[in-house]
Amino acid sequence: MQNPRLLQRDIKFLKLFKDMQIIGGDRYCPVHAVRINNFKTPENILEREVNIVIPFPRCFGYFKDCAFSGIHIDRQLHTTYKNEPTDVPFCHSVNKEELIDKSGYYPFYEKDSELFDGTYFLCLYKEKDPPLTVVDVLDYAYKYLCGCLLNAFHTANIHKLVLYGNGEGNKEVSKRWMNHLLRGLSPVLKEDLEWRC
Amino acid sequence: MNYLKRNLWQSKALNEKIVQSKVVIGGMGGLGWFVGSQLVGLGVRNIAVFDYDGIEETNLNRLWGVNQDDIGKHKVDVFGELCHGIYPDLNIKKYPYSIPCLKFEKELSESSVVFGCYDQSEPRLATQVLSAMYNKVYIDMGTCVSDCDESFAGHGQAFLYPGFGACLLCAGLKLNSPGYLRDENGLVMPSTGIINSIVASTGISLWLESLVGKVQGNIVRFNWNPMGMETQIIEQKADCPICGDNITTTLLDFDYAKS
Repeated sequence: MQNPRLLQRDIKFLKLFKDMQIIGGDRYCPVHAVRINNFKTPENILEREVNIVIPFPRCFGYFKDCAFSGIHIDRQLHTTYKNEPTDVPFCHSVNKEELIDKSGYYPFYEKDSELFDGTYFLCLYKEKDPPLTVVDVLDYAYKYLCGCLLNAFHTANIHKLVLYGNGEGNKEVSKRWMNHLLRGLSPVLKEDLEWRC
Repeated sequence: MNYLKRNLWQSKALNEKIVQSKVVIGGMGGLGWFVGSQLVGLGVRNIAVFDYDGIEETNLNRLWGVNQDDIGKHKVDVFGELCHGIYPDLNIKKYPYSIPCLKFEKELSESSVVFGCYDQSEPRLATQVLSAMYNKVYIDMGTCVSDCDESFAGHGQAFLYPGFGACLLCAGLKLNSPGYLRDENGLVMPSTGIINSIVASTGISLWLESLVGKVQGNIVRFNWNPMGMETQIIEQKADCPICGDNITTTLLDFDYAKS
């Protein structure tokens, strides 16, 4: 069930984008996702224009803990570290099977698999102050991309502390986050993350 | 069948209201099963039941009347058969569908009362939004048994809308509100008929209170051990999107893809 008033508010904002398409749902979840083509990325990102799809939560606008989880991008994003190209952290390829179990929260994964299979998912979910509106999620995505490597160092630091037993948290969860983070990064960045943090 | 004769504790006026009521039950698991069977025994003659699930072996401890041969059948179909075996003149519509759906919305819009017996938040939310939209009485119930090594523990509650104006969101419904105990894979674990029956009776009693105009509170909480029941009033929240000052517009027919 999605809140019609808040959907209208967000769609009104999204209409500012020239090439925007709503991937509709049903009477109760009318917006499964929104696609924005030619989305402009920050200057530190090598792919200057990308096509993105933003899945909408099933109970959008009603539950405070029902948030956007991230955005799908039509290709891998890259930035540079010490003049070497590297993947943007936490932006990884996805396949249908990985996301099917999320269809409980995002109807997009249940019904529109041809639209996200093969894309790259930029994970933007955060436990504190998660993005609750489309403005939030695009704003957060842009800011994250601007400082994606700083964010990577910060994340690595936190999880390394947990892994070494010096920080609070679950070691297994932290280990998974670290493995996820290290995927696709340049060897130079990987080495710096593994040893410096 | 003379329901009044079988329910001498009811006044004629109350009995008439019960018999004339059109009831919808969302969820025919352990809780909904008790709600349905109690309502039918009470004298309800028009009932619509919704549940997309089939009977599983783990249901047998609390879906009374069900046997091994019923495993795999739709819960709503088995419930309907059992009811007709006792009350042949009962008008029962069986919908093996999940909520929300168009048929549920139609039945709700034509109902006198909806009983929600769900173990997930989304159907709860949907029923609440639709009840607000169509101005219908909604009784939401939930139970939760707790993992307990040496004793037993659990709790439940029944909530009445629009008892004092407040809705389920005002009462604190969240995306991951606790329902049945879940195992390490997040799957709902089998509950117990003991606590389901108490909460079912409580929810129906709340409905009866609303029928006679004597509502004491809009939420009744039950604790299993130590045993206790408490009636409270949840206040309406001004900023609630369902029942507050800035209510959501009900544009469920709006086609966003074409807008």
